[in-house]
Amino acid sequence: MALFSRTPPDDSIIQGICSGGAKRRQYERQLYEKYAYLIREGMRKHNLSEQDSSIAYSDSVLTVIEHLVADRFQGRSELKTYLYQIFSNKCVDLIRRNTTNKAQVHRSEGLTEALNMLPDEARSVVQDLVMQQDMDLLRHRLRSLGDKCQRILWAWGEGYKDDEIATQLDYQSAAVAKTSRLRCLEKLRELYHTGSKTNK
Amino acid sequence: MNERIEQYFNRQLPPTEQEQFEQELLHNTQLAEEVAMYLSVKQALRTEILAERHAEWQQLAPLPAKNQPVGRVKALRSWYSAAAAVLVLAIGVVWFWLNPLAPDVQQLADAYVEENFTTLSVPMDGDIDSLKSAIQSYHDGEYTTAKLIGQEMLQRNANNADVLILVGVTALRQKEYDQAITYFHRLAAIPDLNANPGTFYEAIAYIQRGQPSDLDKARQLLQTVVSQELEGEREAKKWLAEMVDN
Repeated sequence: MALFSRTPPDDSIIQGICSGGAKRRQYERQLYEKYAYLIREGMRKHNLSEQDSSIAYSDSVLTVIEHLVADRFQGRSELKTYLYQIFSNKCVDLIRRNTTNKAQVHRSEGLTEALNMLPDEARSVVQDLVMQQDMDLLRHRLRSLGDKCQRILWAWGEGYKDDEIATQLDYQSAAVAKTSRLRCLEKLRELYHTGSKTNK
Repeated sequence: MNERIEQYFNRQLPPTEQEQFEQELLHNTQLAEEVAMYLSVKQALRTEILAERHAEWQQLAPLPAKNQPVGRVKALRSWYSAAAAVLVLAIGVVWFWLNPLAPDVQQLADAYVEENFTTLSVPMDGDIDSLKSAIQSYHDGEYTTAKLIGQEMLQRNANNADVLILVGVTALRQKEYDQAITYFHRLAAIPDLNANPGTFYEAIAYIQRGQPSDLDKARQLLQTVVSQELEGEREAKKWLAEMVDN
C-alpha cells in the first residue's frame, strides 16, 4: 500500500529514532503523525475528550520512544500494535485518574518500574521518600538551573547516552559529559533543599 | 551524587554489590534520600519533556480522520470519476482489511509480552541467589540457562510461584508454548497467592500458540480472569472486547 502512503515505514522510523543525532526529532514527529488517528480511537472507545485523548497519545508516543532508545522494543510485535497497547493502557489510567482521585500524584511508568526493581522493604522506604518530594518545586528548580545544566539533564531525560550528549553538547568525551551531568544533579538537589527549607 | 544509584537502576552493578546496595538503603537515610531524589528528578524531567513534546506535536497536522486517504485530485470526466470512485472504494476496502485500525487479540498479546516481559523484577524469596541468577540470564537473552536454573529450583519447590512465572515466560520467549501453558496452569492452581497471574498468562500462551480452538480456550480463560477479578483483569476485559469487535 506504499502507493498511497506518504509516511515512512516503521523500520525506517525505528532506525531513525534509535540512531539518535539531530534527525531523531524528525523521526519522532513522523511516529506521532503516522498513528495520530488513534486519538479518535481513544475518544470513541474510551469516551475521552479530544484533549485527554491527545495527551494520552502523546504520552504513549513518548513511552514508545523511550522504549526504543533503551532497546526495550525487540520487534516481536508490530510497532503499531505496541503503541496501541500502551495507548489503551494510558487511556484507562487517565479515566481511572479522572474518576478517582484527581489530586493524587501521578506516578509515571518509569518511576513505577524503577521502584519495582527494589526489594519490598527498600521499595517502601524509597517510595515514602518519593511521595514526600514537592514535585512542583523540583520542576521549578529544574527550570531555574543554568542553561548548560538544563540542557544536559534534559538530554539525559530524553534517553540520550553520555557519548551522544558529549557530541551534541560539545563535551570532550562521554566521561566528561557524565561527570558534568552528575554534578548538575547534585546542584539541583542542593537547590531543591535550599528552596524547600526557605519555603517551609 | 552517588554513582552507584545510576549503576543500580541501569542494572550495571554486580550481584553482590547490588545486594549490598539494597541492604544499605534500609539503614542509610542519606542514600535512600539520594535515591528518592534521583527518581524524582527523572519523573520531573519526564513531565517537562512530555509537556514540551505534546505542545510541539499539537502544532503538526490537524487530527486526521480515520484512514484519511491522501493524493492529488485531478479533474476528470464524469464516467472517469465514477470508475475512479469504484476503484478507490475497492482499494479502500482491501486497505482497511489489510490494515485494521485496531490490532487483533493475537497482536495485542504479542505486544503485551513485548511490553511486560522484557525485564523481570526480582522478588524477595528464600532461594534468592538462584532466582537472581536465572533472571539475570533471562535479561541477557540466555533463555536456555534461565530455564535450566528455574527447572532445578522447581525440583526443590514445585510450587514456587516466582519460578513458575520465570520458566513460563522464558518458554513463551522461546515459543515453547506447550511448556508455557503447563507452567502457567500449575501457577494458576497455586492457592492463596496475593495476585496470581497464572490464568491470564495461560491465556496469552494459548493466543500466541494459535492452534485451532486455542482462541476459544483463551477466551474461556480470559472470562475466568474477569469473573474472578484475577491479575490481568484490565487487559482481559480489553481483549475480550477486541475478540467481539473482530
